[in-house]
Amino acid sequence: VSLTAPVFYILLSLSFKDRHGYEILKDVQASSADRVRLGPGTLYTTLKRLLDAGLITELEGRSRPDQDDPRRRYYRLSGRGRADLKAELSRMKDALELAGARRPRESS
Amino acid sequence: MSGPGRRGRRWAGILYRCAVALYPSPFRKEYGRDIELLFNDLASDPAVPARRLWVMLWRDLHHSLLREHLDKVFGGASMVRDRIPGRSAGVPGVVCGFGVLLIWFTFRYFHVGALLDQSPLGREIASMIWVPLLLSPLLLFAPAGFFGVLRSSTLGGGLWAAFVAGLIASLTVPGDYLMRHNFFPTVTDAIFTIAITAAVCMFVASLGAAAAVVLNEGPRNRFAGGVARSLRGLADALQSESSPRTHPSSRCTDAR
Repeated sequence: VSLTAPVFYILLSLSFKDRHGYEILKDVQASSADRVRLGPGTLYTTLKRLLDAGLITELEGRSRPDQDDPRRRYYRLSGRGRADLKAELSRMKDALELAGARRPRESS
Repeated sequence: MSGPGRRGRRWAGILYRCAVALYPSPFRKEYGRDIELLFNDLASDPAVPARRLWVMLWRDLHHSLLREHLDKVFGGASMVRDRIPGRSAGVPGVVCGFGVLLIWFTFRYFHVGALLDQSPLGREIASMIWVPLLLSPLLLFAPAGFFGVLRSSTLGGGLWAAFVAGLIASLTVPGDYLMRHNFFPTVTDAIFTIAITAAVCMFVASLGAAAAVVLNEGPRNRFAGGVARSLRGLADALQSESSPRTHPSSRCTDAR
């Protein structure tokens, strides 16, 4: 099952490091070249679904307690989330290879 | 930052906070503060134009707010706390429908209408009696929707209960009674009346269902929540009495 664009970019963002909501939002926007823009509500509804599905986990402690707002919650990619992301990346790679191997028919 | 830009941010912030208040209460309690915090981060970021805040407000309203409510109401992925098979939600509807059917049988086969027609006062009553007769499904519909929601914890369940009750009621009461009294000269008129009655019944039922959804929210209104829980307990007790073989997995469980 292919992941939706917001889910894919959120998982991709968390695959590099643990992040809080604002960091995820900024990273998704940057890594998608401004194509995926999440609002706070959309981000948290998606995060909640990912938590429910066990693709991410919420961290108990904060990575930088001295610098961060204590109200922020951090999220981490779970093993299952990593596996799903890997599968999605592999699927994308296969699709790209297939598209590269087959020359698209020119429209006359 | 320019005056209009600041004003735009301020208004977007106010409206966004109102929008957060519209999320379903379990979600709002869990993430409402995070959403507001994130919005404040964005609003205070000079790189984010005020226009984008408005776009975000619109997008969130139309994407996540609506989706959360639909998920909660129609049994979505995670917002539904209590899941009961849809069939049990139809039980109150069937009961109410049969109540209406009983009224119809009383009038049809015990000739109550004919007895009333024998005296001037009776005729007067007979001419008036179709009003409460038509109202009876309406009165039964709201509880059908209400209990349907309490049983299934979804508006879909309530509407299903209402649909069953409405189907039975609308096909019997107005059709038969009004045709017998020649209030409608053609079948088309009768069908039209049945359709209107069904629509009104479903509307009333959905009001009852919506009331149950609001009451079922719980902690926000402790009294109403208590009443809703009591009614739910009563409905549970009645159902377990009538069907002692109910599987334990179909009982209400709080997932969160």
